[in-house]
Amino acid sequence: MSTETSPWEEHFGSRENQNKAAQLGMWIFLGSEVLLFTNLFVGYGVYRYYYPDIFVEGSKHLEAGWATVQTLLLVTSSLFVALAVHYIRQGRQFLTALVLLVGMGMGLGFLGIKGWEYWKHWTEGALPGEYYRLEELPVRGGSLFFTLYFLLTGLHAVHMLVALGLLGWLVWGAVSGKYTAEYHIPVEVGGLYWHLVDVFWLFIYPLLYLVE
Amino acid sequence: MAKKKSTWGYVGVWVVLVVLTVVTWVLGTKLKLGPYSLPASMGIAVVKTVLVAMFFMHLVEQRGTRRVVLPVSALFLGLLLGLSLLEAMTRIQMARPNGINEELEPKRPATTRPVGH
Repeated sequence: MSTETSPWEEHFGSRENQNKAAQLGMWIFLGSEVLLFTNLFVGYGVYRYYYPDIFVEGSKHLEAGWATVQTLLLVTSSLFVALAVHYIRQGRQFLTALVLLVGMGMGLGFLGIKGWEYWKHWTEGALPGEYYRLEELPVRGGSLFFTLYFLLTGLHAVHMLVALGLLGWLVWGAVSGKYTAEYHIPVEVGGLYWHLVDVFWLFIYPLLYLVE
Repeated sequence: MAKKKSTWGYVGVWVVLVVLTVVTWVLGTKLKLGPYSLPASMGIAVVKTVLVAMFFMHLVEQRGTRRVVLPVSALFLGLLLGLSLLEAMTRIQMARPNGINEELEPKRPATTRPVGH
């Protein structure tokens, strides 16, 4: 694709319309993502209702302190992504790329902690479904807790990977001068995705790590 | 169009988010709230979500359909979760997973059970 072509499409009628269409499209996509996670939250709700004590015990097996660090990392990365939108609206391309890179670094830190946690669960046998071999918790309920744990954090981690790729693409676009104060729709809607992934974690964190 | 806005508003929102995260952690690990811990932690998560959506996601700037999509998806989350839980809570024993040997009355959480049970 030639970089000479204008990002503005004639058929929207006006640049404002194109902006609004992109925003609406992204918000609808985010709404569908909420409903995707809803499935897991409903499963979590029903099984926590049936096995309240085991969910408390299972939660004690997780690293609440590290999860708090992860939450702080994500919340801070969201600040930097919000700043990226703020800077590109003023046409400051270098600053935009810089704060996006800082946000990505924090996202990678989050995934690093997650990977270490997964490795720990692997060694102690706190695995989903039939692979469950953790002796401290009964198989019934305990295996369900860890199945939900891996589904919720796993789906979230996959979203993090996609969002990291997206931010990387935005960094490249900002550095190569594609985005200006006039045209920066991808930075706006790409940022929305990052924030939504952050929001999912805000709920996953107390639901899995702070059960009592 | 590109008026010079300060970044301090974003930093202010971030400070509130960090404080709320630490409060969630203290409530969940140090102070034992028992039955109130779930509503408390969920309430804080909702407040954090509203802050992120309104200011980091600039939902305050959006109008009309662009503004209602996310709240509507949250409403459907609430409906699906609420109705599914209601169904689970009012099941009789036969329809529940094996091995939960309890009385043949609708199952309710301890917090909503009448005193004396």
